[in-house]
Amino acid sequence: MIYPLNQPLAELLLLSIITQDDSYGYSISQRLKKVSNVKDSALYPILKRLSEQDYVEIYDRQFQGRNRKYYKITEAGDRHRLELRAEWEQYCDEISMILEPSETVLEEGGSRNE
Amino acid sequence: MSKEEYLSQLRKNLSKLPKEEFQKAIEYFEEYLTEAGDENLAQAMEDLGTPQEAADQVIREFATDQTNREEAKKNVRKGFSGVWIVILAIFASPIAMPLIIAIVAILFAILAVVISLIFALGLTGVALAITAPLALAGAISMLPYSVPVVLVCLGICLITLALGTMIIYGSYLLVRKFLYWIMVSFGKVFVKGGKKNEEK
Repeated sequence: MIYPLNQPLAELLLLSIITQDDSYGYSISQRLKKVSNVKDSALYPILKRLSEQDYVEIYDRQFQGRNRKYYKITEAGDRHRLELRAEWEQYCDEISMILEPSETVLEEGGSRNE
Repeated sequence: MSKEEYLSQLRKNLSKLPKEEFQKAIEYFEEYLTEAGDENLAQAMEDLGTPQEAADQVIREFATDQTNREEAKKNVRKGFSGVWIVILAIFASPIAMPLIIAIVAILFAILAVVISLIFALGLTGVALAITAPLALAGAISMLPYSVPVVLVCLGICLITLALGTMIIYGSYLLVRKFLYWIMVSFGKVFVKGGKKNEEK
């Protein structure tokens, strides 16, 4: 993956992953791995910051005799996620408009590249 | 590398962190590697990066977070932290330290000389002032013998009295000005130190 995973996007993805279900560190990073071009250790500072900002709660749960820390999204976290999501949608729209100009623009400019 | 080796190196790299931060970070990575299980351990360690890379992530985040908190507290400790950073930076350099010691020694020497000069001046004034009553005594004692001598002695008394008090008062003013100048200069050093910290 050559496109870098920036801080806000990583936050958005992380919060989205735990919106559906609470999850633990290893599981989250396995899902993020596919779109991330940085080491998975970079996930820890992001989780830590989200927790400090009270967007995420951490709790312990036992599994097969070992302890797992689960991350759960808070109300504030969900609001933050929606903000980030809105920003992302807008960003994607702008990118799309550059990559694939709409029909009206093509007509106005004449058929240059077609 | 085994899981234990990885974690042990990680602990070493993170040892400078405060206890709570250290504990949380180690717990995270320990859990991560345990979750990977034996079959995925190698992949997991590759995903995390080397123990040094993983530690760098944690430390970098901690450092930037700390800077933000320090900025908030800065108004309380402005001047002092600036000066301490300067002092620590100086002590960190092996060449600058002896140089700084030499400069400080010279400054102290200059300070001592100036203070001594002012003190000597003051003493001169005192000596003159003491001469005055002595001259007066001399004048009185010469009364029965020689009037011109009496007049001379009276003259000496008045002159030394005038000169003496003028010099004493002058050296007092000099001392006050000198002390004020010292306080202002030191104040500037503290303020400059604080400003240096802000620019960072």
